[in-house]
Amino acid sequence: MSDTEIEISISDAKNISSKETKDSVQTIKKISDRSKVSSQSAQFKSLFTCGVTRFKELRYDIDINYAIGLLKKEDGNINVYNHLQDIIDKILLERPKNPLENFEKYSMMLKRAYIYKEVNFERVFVDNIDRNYCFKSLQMFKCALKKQLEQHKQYKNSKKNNIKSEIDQNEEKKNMNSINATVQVQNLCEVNYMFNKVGFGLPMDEASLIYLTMNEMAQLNKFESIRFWGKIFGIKKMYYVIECKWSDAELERKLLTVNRVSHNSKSSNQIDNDVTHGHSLQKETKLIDTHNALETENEFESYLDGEMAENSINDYDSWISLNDSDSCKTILRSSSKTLLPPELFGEGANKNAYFVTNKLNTRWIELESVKPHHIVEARKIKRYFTGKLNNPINSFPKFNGSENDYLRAQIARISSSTQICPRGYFIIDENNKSWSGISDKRSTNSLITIQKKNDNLIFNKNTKPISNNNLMNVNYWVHKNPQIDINGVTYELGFPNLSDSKKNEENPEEFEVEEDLSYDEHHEINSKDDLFGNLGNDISVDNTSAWKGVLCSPFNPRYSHTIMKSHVWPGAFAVAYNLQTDYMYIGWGQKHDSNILNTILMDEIKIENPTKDDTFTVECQEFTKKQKMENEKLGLRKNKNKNIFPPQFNRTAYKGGEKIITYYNYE
Amino acid sequence: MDVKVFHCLIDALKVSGCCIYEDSIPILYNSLIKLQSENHFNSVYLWGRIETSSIDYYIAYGHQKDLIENRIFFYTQNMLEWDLMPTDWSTLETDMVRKLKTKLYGNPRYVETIDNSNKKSQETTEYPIASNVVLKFDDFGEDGEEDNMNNLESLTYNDIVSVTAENDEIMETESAINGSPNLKLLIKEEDRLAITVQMIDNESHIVPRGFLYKLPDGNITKAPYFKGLDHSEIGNENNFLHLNQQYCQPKDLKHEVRSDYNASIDFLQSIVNDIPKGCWASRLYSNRYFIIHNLLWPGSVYVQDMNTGIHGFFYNGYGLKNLDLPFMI
Repeated sequence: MSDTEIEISISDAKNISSKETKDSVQTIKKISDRSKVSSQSAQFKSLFTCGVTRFKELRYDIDINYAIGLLKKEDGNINVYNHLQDIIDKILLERPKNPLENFEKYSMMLKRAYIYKEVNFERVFVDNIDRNYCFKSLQMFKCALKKQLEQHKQYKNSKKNNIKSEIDQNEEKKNMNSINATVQVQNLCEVNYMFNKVGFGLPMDEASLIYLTMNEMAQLNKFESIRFWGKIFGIKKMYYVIECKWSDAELERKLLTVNRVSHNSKSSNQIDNDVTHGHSLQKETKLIDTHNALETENEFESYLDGEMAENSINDYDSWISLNDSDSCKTILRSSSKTLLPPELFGEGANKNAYFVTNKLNTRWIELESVKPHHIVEARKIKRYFTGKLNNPINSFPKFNGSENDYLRAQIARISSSTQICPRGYFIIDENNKSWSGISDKRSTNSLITIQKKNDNLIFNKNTKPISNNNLMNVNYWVHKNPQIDINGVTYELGFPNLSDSKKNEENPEEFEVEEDLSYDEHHEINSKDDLFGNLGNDISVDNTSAWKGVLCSPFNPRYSHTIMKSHVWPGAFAVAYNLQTDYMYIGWGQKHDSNILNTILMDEIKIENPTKDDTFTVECQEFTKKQKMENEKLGLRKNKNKNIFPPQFNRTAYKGGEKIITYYNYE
Repeated sequence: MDVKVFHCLIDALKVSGCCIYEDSIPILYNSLIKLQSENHFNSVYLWGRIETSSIDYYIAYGHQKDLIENRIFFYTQNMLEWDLMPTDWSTLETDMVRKLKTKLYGNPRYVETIDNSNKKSQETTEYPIASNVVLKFDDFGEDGEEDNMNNLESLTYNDIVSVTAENDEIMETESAINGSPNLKLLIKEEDRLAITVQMIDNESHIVPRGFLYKLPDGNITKAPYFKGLDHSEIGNENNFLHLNQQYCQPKDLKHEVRSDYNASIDFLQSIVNDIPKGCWASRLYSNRYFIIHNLLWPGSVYVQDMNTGIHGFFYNGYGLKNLDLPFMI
């Protein structure tokens, strides 16, 4: 995104705000504006204002209209302007001795009165219907309509100008329009018809709001494709999830910024890098407001500044350029948390960005990219979502992170194992676009480019629809996403075989059914059509097929939709009808695997018990010095033996070794 | 879910994540009306759907006069002909059903085998774990240990309707199992289905308070002008009552009589004291549909349209109990 665009968007926003106060119809616009802004966090608001004021200093003084607009911004039927008015009224009415001292008190009292208004049944509900919700949704529609009109106008203008052959400035606009056109937005109306046929459809009101949101996201020009991923139920609230793929330009920019930062920091502290990378890319939790490009733009810049200032950032690039032995060493140093770096934007599990929300007419929040260790930990636990993103997760095999990390990890697991399509409908894109160029520039090794090549799928134009009878057969379906391996990543690291084999030796049955089940390592991909593995190779917990194909209307098999339902992730499904196919997830975000959980729990207990419960420890507590020395020596020897296996490859084995050391020390 | 409101609740079911294929809705409706007329039922209900690894079962029930005690269950696979659900089963079978953790096969004549000798070791390890879980949640009763133990026994075995004489009979069956460890236990899927449905119904079928009305002569009827619960009432679990007598609550917990007690509508147990605590998740979706999920039996939902007050119970799932629930909330 160029600077000019930012300017345009900022001036746009200003125009809107100035109009707002002038117009007699201001209330409507105010409301429409409110739906965007009032929902944002305080921090975000401040960013917004900072950006604008800073910009304004360049041109002219503080815009009074804008200030009034800000004050009049409604926050749940109340705005600052009216509030101040009320306070002054009250003070004038009561004429207290020291109004300044009790100013806060008055403010509080008045605020309480407002809240009381909210609770008042008649004010909130009309005929048992929450009217505020309806208002908010209406505002979204109004906003969309306004935008449509503006776009229409813009388009007409550009056309006119073209005739006058004054193309110089308008070419940009034209380009923008053309970019808009290339964003692939899932056609939810059409797709929802299919979903309805198979019983998993979205109700009308949800579908329309989601569709609106997706269209507005498309106008940000940041995404290549947008689709509705599904719903995840929580105990308190539900998550709606939208899946977006960053556009190439956007990705490039993100990577470049990260790169630049890393080169600056590289010289200063290289050791810290390896410990802290993993967090670097993830700093950016972006609160996307789907209405306004300006805000995200500002936000992004501030993010950049912040990163520069912190100066403790590293990335993928510098890590990958190290030799393998070096990387091993550095990881050794950070022993206890041998975390793999997260995959880069646009790679593997982080190929797509995900936006979630609890209510469709409020803001959507971007989830951080997934970290491999979160996926690994999420496999071990089984918990319902609560619906609050910052909720801590109290689980027994510990999960390091709050609910948004857990949610992201589950989304990654679900999408990697349940996004499927009929065989032959999609093919791997051979000629990848601008990407190889970028990676060459960055002088990374070829690993990424190869991986990237495999990730891109395009629709196969030469395919023929599969008959319904065959569509019910799992062998005619293939995975669309690469499998996530035991380490929680999809791409091959320098040492995949070592760790894999080790882990499998440890407890083979645990990992046999561990994850994704798409295809085992030894199984060769049959053909190109099989993309990332055939569904026929999937297995579920009780060794039955992981999928079930059903004909939705058995009385009219020829024109019936076919659904493929997952048994492993109840709620995941894919539909196919003729050449149309799509998939979604509606469920609790839990894997169907009661047996596995028990075994994992039991194993951990077994490890911990011997040191604590052994009667020996209780009785012989006193040692002579000699005994202690001997024990320590013994312990050290054991320690050495254990260290033959580099610990970072195998966390469980390492833990075990640690346990044994302590065992010999204290007895 | 009453067949009469079937069409009105389709959207609500969609929101709650239950799926009925759109094309099968008219078929189900017609065949259920036929079922009603043939059996002279007062009303007929679509109870739910149990997913199997091949063809799913649809479950329906009807009642003539007594709408709690004398409900008759039916099942179907082709949605056209409804078969009567078996009603007699031994305690041994109910015990087996509780141990089965696999999906149903999808054929009522399929015979499930539990190899007792193989499973022996597993069972012994599993059982104490399960009882511990129950014990933990039972503690708030604050009785003596013995009471707790009794309580527990009645709890675990009482959730099946047909177990009437509790402890002695159970002891017998257990000894029978112990006596012949090599005996292979067989259970027909039809029976398993019936028992599962009964278990689910006992523990998770709820109605809103005020919907059912007890007349002075002891008959129970539907309140004709019940408008559904409104926004001030749905937040309170006291307003939802078990259709069946309590099966998943501590027995000797003293019932707190609500302040606005009304004997004609409060003759059922509310879901407040259900164990584990927090097994009901209630939410309002898209400003219109109020939905309660039972987390203990994933897939069983109570839905209510806030605008019209139409409500119903539906089950859509594998028929498996979520025993991990205490760790998941």
